[in-house]
Amino acid sequence: MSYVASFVDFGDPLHECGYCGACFWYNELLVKSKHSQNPKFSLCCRKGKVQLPTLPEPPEFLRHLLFYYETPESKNFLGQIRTYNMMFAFISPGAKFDSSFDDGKGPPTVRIQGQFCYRIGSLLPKDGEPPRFGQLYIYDTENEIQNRIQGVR
Amino acid sequence: MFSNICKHSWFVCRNNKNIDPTIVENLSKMLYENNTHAKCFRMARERLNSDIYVPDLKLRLISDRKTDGRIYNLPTVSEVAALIAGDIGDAEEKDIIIQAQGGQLQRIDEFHASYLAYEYPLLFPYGEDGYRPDIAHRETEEGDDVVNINKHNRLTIREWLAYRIHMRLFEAKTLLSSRRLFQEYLVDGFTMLEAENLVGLEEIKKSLEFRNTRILIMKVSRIMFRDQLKEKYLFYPLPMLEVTDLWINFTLTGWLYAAKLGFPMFSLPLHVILNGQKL
Repeated sequence: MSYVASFVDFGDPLHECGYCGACFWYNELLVKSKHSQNPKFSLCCRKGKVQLPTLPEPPEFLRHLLFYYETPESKNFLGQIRTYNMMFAFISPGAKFDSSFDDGKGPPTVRIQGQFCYRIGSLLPKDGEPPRFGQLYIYDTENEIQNRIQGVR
Repeated sequence: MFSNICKHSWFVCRNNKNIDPTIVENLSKMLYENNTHAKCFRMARERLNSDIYVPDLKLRLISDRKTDGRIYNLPTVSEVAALIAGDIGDAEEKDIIIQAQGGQLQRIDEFHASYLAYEYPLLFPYGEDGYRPDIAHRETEEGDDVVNINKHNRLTIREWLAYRIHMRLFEAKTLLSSRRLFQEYLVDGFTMLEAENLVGLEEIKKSLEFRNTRILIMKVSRIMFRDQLKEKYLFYPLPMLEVTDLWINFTLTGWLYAAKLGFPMFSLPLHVILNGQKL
């Protein structure tokens, strides 16, 4: 007997939530509305209870990077989008790290204690230190691009 | 054993060889044009670099929004930040006051309205507001404008995230097209969800601080029976409570285990509670 890899095609999410317009596959519907003409969904907005503004279209340059996959700069951007985001983040993640497990054996381990949080520093860096996260928007703006790239090293 | 560090890039692969400087430059230009928070920081920069020296300048990042969170999520510069010289006036607890130089790193509250916009400037390029606890549900009755936001009609973080991550034909697909950044955002969202649960636990802890033993017993037994009905028991993280509260936590955990295992153990934790309160 050999295992034949196959896949099931569910098609596109053609159904829309009647309240908020979210796209759904048919099988995601509420069981109660199984045989009705208009299937109902509650995963998105709890049957219309949640009301939030829609997100606006991104600015021209970001749209170019996100939706035109063929261009080389888009490929570069989408491959390293987390690094690019980190360069522009205003705040920085932090936690209490437990380094006792990180001894070079096995796969890399990240173990933290307590709650994970984000932090922000002062407007200007300490004397002699390179600017970080939010400070990049303020300090030494002539070399801003260089500083941002240096920050990820 | 534990090192309290705050690295900017602790989980991103440290590789900047493939970074394209022109993309960085254009993104920077784009954010200065569109992003509200970048504009705020530029405003602070202009003030710091100007010839008029202002002593003790601080930047206050405002958490409260006066607008209705169901309709508006694009804040203006004056809504999100204010430059303060000298004393801080009536700042809210969640507001962040940034010193000009020096000082400790400050923690950002998970329910700060701009929490996600600060961390993901490329997902929220205009500095859109994230989740905030004072958003109500949609009105069910017409003409009912005055809303008292209570725990029954308040939007939870889970609902907010579930609404945001769905695809809609008429909405921009910035989030869903961002690949790994979207995954990171999801993990972060889950952390926020857990943080909200922790706040709930803090409230239980506060209610446990009542001197009245009867209320204490009522509270604990309610939790106990509820968990028995659902056939699962809550896990109360020990480090959350201070050492002085340890005995309360201990008895509570004991009771929960008793509820799980059966009632013969019941008398022991009760004994501990009575001893603890010195009745």
